[in-house]
Amino acid sequence: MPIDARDKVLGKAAYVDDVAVEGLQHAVILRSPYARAKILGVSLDTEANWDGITVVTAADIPGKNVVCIGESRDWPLLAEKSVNHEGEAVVIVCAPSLREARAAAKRIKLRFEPLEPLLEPRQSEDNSVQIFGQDNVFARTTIERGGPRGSGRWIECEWEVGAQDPMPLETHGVIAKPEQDGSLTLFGTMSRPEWVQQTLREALNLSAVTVIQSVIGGGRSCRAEVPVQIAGHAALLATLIGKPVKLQLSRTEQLRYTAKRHPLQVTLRTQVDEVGRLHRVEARLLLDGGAYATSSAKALETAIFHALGPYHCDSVHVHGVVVATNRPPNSALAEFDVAAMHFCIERQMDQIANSRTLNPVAVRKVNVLRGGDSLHTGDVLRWAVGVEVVETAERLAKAPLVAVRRPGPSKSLPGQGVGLSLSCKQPQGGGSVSVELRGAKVRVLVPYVDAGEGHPTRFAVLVSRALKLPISAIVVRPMDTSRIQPSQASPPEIQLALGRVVQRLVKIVAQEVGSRSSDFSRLLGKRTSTKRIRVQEPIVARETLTVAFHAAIVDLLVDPDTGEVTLRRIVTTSAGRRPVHARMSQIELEGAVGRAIGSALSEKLEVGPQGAWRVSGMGGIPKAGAMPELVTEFILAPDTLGPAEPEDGVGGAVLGAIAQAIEQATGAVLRAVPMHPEQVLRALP
Amino acid sequence: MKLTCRVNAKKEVLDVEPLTPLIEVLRDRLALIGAHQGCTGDNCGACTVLVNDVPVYACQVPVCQVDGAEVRTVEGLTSDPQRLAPLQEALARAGATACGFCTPGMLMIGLALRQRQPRPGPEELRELLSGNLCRCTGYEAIVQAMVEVME
Repeated sequence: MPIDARDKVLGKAAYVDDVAVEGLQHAVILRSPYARAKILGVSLDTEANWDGITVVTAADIPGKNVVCIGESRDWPLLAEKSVNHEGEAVVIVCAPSLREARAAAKRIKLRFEPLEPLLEPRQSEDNSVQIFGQDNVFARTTIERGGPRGSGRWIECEWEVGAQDPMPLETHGVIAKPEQDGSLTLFGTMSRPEWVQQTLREALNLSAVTVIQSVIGGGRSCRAEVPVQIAGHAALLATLIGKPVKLQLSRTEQLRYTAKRHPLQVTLRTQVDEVGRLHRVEARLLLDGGAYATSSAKALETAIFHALGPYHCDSVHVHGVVVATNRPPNSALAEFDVAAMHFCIERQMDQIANSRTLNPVAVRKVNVLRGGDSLHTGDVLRWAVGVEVVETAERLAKAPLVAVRRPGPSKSLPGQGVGLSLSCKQPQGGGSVSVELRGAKVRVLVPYVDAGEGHPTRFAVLVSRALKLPISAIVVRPMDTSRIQPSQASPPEIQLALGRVVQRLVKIVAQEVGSRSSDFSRLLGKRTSTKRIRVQEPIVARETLTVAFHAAIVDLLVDPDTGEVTLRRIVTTSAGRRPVHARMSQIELEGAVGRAIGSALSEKLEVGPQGAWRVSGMGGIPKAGAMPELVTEFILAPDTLGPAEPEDGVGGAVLGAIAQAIEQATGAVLRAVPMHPEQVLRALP
Repeated sequence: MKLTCRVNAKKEVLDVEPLTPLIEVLRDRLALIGAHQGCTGDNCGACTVLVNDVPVYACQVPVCQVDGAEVRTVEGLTSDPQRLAPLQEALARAGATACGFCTPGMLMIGLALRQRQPRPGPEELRELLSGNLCRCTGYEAIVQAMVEVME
């Protein structure tokens, strides 16, 4: 049982909206209705009663008006003279209740002079509308490797992957609470506490700040940037009025104005021989970063890194640029960014097969990375099993479909498609882990913010196995900066450090009781002292890339009259390190498959007239009844070769396989995600 | 208005605005925080509770509609936190909780379906769970856990 499951099934888990704080004030944000405008003024209704209401603008920020996202400093905490996207925060208001705060906000008038916005990323560079620097470019990268070869047939295609909402069920929220000693405690859905602390240092001149994570209702990577900004808002109000303040976004705010996956446009030119082997790959990537840089450079880095997906080619030219537009800032969302690039390269593989009348699976097998191959980035893979994951998926996909699942209309056309993907993580390291022996319990402190992925349970399992103690004896604390420094170390790196720290704890206790035994239960039995023992160990970056390989085979039906796609079965095989908790890894993988299905078939993100998103419902999450039969299998890598967790990065394979299956069923070549019925009908030959 | 209802078998007399959503009364007045506000728009099911054994979205029900009714929330599934109800036990053991935000709503819809005769099989269960969204699990673990209890 996951260590937090009992509280969750009892309804006792404390999400940010579940915490009662005495004297809590509630805040709301007044936002720009325009994509680009000058701010002319803010006026308050002089007839109204403003007792107990606090209204704050950029003029009230004591330090620099910035939100600190890594090195980026262009995003203001509150817009001052101008706004750069619809929904940009201009004024914050707080009152003793949410109802009063909303009523007060209605009595505040914002005046703007609207300006011509820049909404189209293709027109961003060198546009007369300047949003960022001289050329509206947040980041640009070029990789050239191997040089042109000059043989084989060229295939050129354009692909597009739209934004994706991470769609956590719980909206972002933060409580800021002034403490009696003059410090400030922040509690909420923040996955980058170090950015919160830096923002409060620079914008509010506050250094005594503790960040504690609440139980988080899903979506770890989307909890990075926007929660930093609202933490800044709540902290500003709390320090001004000396009372605790909560700011939690409404669902409408969350859907319209918070960060999405960077919309991606890719032109791929591939030169291939008669068996479809890649001789040269040329890729041009354009990402829409929105109005502020935030983590756009990281999103570009991820897309560039995955430009060739799980395939090998010695001759490569990749050029990528992420530009500014007057739209809400987008965010580096690892899982979704990786999937986006994989969709493009998988679709390219299908067109390579079509152009030479080759079997698409054979084309993939010819090109897939093998152990010892180097990536276009120069990294060498010590381990690669692309062929094995496909062949295992092919074997599993031969089983008969579950008969009653999702039959679809009788005239529906069946299709089967395959997709591959690769997930890679760069070595990170940094920070430390510690374990604390308190009586018969071991408390574990790790720099990890969990949003439901279940890593705390895996850390607890690891420590309980190593110490041969029951899991009930292990307590994993949520992230709390007063106890442990934040770090971006990956779970496998944290696990390795935990292994070392536990060994040290055993030795220390053995020494204390004068025993040579390594049996921790026995050592505890001999221990008479009640003194706490705390042992700390640095988290060391792994020496090599961690990688996982995935294959997906999708069986579906397409109604040729309506374009509606009915998924019948998705088989996935994923190769990576041995999971600490196989069942939790499988559930996480099934969740990632679900999110990929949502982004492929049911999510509807449309751009409003002023550039913010108009999202109808929560289609990014498929309904239970729309889920196909899922078959998953893990292939385990040797522990010494640095592979990643097998549940990471399956989404790209699923997106590619869905598109190929639709093409196989109908002949429709889909060039973009999402693949709604109207797109399928439009693409029919 | 003044209304009387039973919430988790306990009589409650409430002086409330009649159109206040039930979820706000449960959370803010009765401190029953298990039902969550996810979408506030008839979409996600994280606020599902039972009113007279019928599952409802508590964010869509004005509190005046529960006058004289029996309301059941996740907090009413067991009186002893050490002894979980069968559905709670099954979801927890299956690791089907993940981020846990949808879990209370899933438990309440699951309870309603368990009281049906005949009990739904796996395929019907999937269709009947379509009013409750889960972002984390892809539903497979939830469905398997519920099937185990239904059987």
